[in-house]
Amino acid sequence: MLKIAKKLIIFILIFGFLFVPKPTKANAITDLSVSLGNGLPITDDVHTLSFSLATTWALKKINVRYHKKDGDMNKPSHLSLNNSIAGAITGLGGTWSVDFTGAASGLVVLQNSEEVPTELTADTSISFFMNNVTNPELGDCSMTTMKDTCMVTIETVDSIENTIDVGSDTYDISEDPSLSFIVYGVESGTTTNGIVTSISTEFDRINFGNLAIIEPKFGAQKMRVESNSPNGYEVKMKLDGYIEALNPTYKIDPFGPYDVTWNDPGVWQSPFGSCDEVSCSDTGWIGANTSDTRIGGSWANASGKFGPVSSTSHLVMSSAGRDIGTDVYVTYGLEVNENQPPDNYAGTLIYDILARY
Amino acid sequence: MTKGLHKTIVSLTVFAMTFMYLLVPAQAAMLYSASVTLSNPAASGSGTHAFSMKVKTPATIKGIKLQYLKAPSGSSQNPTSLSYAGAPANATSLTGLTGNWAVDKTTDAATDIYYLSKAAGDALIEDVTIAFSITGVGNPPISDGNTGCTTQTGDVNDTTGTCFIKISTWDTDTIATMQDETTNAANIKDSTTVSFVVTTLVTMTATVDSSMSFIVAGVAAGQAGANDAGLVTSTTDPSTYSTLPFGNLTVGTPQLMAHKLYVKTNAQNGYTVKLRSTTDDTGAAADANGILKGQYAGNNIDGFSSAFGAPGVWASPTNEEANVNSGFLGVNSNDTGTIFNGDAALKWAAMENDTWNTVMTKGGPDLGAEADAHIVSYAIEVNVYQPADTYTGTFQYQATPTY
Repeated sequence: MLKIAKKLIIFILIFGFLFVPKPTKANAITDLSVSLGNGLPITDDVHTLSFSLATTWALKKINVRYHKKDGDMNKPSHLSLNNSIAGAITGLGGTWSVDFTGAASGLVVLQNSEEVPTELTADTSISFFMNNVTNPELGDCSMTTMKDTCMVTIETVDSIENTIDVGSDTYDISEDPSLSFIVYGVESGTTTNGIVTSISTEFDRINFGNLAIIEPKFGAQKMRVESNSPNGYEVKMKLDGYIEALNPTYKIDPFGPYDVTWNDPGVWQSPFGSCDEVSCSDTGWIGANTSDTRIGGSWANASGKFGPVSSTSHLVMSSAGRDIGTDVYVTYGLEVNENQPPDNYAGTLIYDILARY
Repeated sequence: MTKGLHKTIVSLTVFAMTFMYLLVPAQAAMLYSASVTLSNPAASGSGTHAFSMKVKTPATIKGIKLQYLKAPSGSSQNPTSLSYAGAPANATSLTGLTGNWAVDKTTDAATDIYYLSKAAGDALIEDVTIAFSITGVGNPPISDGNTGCTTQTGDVNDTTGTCFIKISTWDTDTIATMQDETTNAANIKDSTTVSFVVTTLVTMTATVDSSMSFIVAGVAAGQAGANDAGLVTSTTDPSTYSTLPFGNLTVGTPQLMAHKLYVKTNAQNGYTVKLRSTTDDTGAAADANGILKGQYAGNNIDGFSSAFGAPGVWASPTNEEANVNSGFLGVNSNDTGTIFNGDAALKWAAMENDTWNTVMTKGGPDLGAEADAHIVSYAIEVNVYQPADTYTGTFQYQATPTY
């Protein structure tokens, strides 16, 4: 008797398995669209997704996966669903809810709580929205410019993890370029990057005043940049020629101890040069320090160090990407020795900012 | 018949789909890695605007449209003071582009829209970098008004101004087509908007004043080698900047004291330091009335027997007449720029009343460092004919820079 029952159970299982309907191949979801409220990069937004089923089937869940692009299923690095809140789902019954358990990997799941899912017919239109979705940054997905295109893939899944329908759509993140660059004067006595300034400056004037022999003076300017350029920006500084005296044969040279370059700055030293019958060399030095460690190289750790200031542009501030507002001090040092001819000296400093879009 | 009908339907379908595809306007893609570099970013300055960007849509580009704006929106006001009037006929410094790309700087100059065109165009592939420069561009000023680039929020000094340039590439060189972006959107291959900043130039000023400082320092007692003669200064008291206290003199034993002189000056033609005795102001020559005077009238110590112009080896006073070369006061300097050079380096000369004599000099600036200082030594000696008394005298230095 037991033997017969056992055989009967095996027969039922085999029979049942054979007759459970299985999809042969996933069909394409139709009318899939992803629309964003503002579409601004790394900004909280409302994402509305809508689509229509291609296959009549009993579905257990619908996976909504945010990813970079076709062939790259990784979540856009700045996209965040962690604080997202789902709105009502239309087109599905009350047994469906939105599950954010997989948010960290960009997965949102519409989950059906029915033990035995009710069949949904093809062409059923489904839509839902999510608030507080942090959009990707420009460059997270396809292109690092002022518009980027990312992707969402939706797949419907039955109780035994078969993919029934699948489809993908793209959405754009874009922003108008913005760039703000401000130069400020800095008060005397301000500690910048290991340097205490000894003169006050204005946004358009650095007056070192009267110089005594072998007594350096230091003055700084503060600059602030805000830029949404995804490829960042560079601020460069240069002199329009030299700092020259009223007698144009007299000039202040770029800070130039033997082993110092802009890429390899050194601590402040007094000029050691002298004059011949024609001109003077290294009898007065103008140098600069930047507090922006993002420049890298030796400037990553250059407290109290200076590089030459000349008519060659030198990088004093940079960002590899978006900058919501960074302040940087550029501090100038000027010193003359006894050989620097007495005179009134003046020069023109030029700042230049280049944003890459 | 059925087969023929089937073929016809397929052909019509393919044709219709192709035709529909052609009717759908292509959406312009984004130029990327785009930037504009100003050779002279000065507000209202003039220079070269150098453009660089990467192509997204492969196409033969025949036109490039540059629209200068105060805000990133294409409908924004243009900065009216911008000027391409000085631009040449063709763009320069081409990369990825070839031949002559003509600059149209007149058609829409009023709205600061400029066109580059080349009838044959250049076939560009995706990701290729194109670059071109327009020289002689007049930058706008910093202004929130229509003329200039917009100031920054929070910038109370209006230190900089930001402008934008909408750049689009076209498959046509017809200016009229490029003028109407709405109607001719299909002709736009790629576009983007870049920004640039015009800045206030910073004036750097400094004054190097003519400077001169002169310091007289005392020298410690018992200091060997205080001067180049290697002599030892008096072991009794140190000198100070204003005193040379030789103390009690022993007949036949010279006493030495010294001053150390520092000059710090940027006088390009140098300086001289001179010395004279002011002990006697009667106008009598040299040491006729003595360099040091005693308490009793007529008692005095004379200058050393060698005149300042011809120093001599130190010699004890030998005259047997009181107050007439019965005591000597001599001077030496270790500055070889003075009379005390060569054979005279170790010799002594008389200090003289009312006559300036050089004890230190230099033909150029002097840092006034320790190595630059010089020692002026003073020696005194009396013989038995010098009356016992307390002798005092005064002298002064004078430092004169020559600029």
